Amino acid sequence: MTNKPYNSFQTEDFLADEDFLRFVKYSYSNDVMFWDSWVLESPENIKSYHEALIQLKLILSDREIEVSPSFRENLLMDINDSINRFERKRKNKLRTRIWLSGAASIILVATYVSWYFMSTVVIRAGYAENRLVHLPDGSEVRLNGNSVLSYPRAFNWKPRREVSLDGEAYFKVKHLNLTPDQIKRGELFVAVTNGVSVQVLGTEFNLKERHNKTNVTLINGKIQVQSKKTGKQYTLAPGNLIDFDEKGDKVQRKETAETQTAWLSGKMIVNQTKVSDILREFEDLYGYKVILDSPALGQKKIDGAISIRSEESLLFTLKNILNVDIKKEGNTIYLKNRN
Amino acid sequence: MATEISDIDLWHNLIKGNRIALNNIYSRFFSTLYQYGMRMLQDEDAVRDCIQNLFVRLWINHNKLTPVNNLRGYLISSLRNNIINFRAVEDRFQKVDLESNEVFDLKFTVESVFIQKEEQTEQVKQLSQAMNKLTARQKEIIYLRYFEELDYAEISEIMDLSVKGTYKLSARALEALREVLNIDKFVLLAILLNLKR
Repeated sequence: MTNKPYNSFQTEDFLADEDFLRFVKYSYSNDVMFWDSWVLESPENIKSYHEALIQLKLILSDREIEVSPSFRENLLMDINDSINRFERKRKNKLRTRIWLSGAASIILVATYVSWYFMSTVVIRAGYAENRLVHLPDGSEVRLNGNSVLSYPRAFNWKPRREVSLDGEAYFKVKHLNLTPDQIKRGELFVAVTNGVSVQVLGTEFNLKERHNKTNVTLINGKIQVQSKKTGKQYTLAPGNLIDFDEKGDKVQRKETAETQTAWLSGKMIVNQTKVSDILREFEDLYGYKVILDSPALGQKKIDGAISIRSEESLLFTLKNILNVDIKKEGNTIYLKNRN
Repeated sequence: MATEISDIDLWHNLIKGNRIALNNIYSRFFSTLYQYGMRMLQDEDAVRDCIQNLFVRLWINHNKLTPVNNLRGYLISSLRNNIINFRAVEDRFQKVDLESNEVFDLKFTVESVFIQKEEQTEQVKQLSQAMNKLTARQKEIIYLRYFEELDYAEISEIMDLSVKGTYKLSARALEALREVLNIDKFVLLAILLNLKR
């Protein structure tokens, strides 16, 4: 502090000087010593010094406001209490949030699981459509036109593999069973229609149900067919087929396994088949209504293989075999004798 | 205590989430804040609320705080903001005239331990009377300058004034004083803050 030009200080300079302020305010002994000796030198600006001194004393003259020690302690306690309350609330909020998000995810999982186990997968092949379906167990199903296949979403979790069919389909069922005398859970495969239930382990078979008439044709392996309406059971060997009528009774028809699976290669094999039956098949697969000019035409029987890959080729064949004119109006097809 | 932790370190510890640092800051600055608060509000309960609010907020926001140069100045400034908010709420409910409501409790008297009998001249008494007529804000500036030893930049920041504003306020105060008392201009200049630097 000694290097300051105190000898040339004005009153306001003293008032602005921190060392001077400290001296007046606190009277530390070394400050008092310094200023006492400075005054003893009788500097020219001693008057300014005295003025500044009295003014500063006046400025600092106010008393200190008294406060009780308990006020100070209680206030600190209150502050800490508020902070503790706040911290607890924050923790609780965090806990609630964690709990809520946990509950939310459990509900989500539960919803998904129940949806998974309750819901059904539905696969629909439209008119003139032909779809290959891969089942979750590795089995394959070829779905013919205008047919619907459905199975539970949790297919592999069920005690038996079960599918429902409306229409026609060719099944290649994956064989899961290794010890035939001991059939385990999930190894049995069941295909169900309105009329029948077909139980298999692993085989290839064709299943068809149209207009409540059912046909089951076995290609490989062994299957058990039950008529749901009569409850009777039939066991089929490869190459065998079985037909049921509307009442669920077994009926004899002169078809072969070959004719039943011809659709897989885009053909219809007819063997002394009535035209009306052929047209009905056409209606089922392509969604048309066919109207014949004369009922006699429907009774006509034909032999051979007809391509059913497209409606055009099928209609073209019929036109030539039957010698008719064909007129299409919307969803209706009229067959008219040419003569 | 030779190893006493510095204000800056104390503040740094608070930012890091040290509760003890908050308590230490309270202990170190309680007096300063209480004195200033009482001079602003003259109501111990209100000052209590404002100080409590200040420290609880410091803790809640501790991880958003930034380093400060002068902790004393920062705390006074924070308390002042709390007090202004408190006053705003009070005024809304009580419809008290804002101007007359504002008092800064700082009295100048010759009857002080500082001032010896022979110094209590008539001129000094007149001076003290004139100083007592200063406005609340002028008294606040003097208080912050001489009692809390803050510099002009800090005072301006705390009182939300530009440094120029501080000058202007003093100039106006000077005029007012001159009207009240016919005192030597030098003395007046000296009483009001020295603004040379």
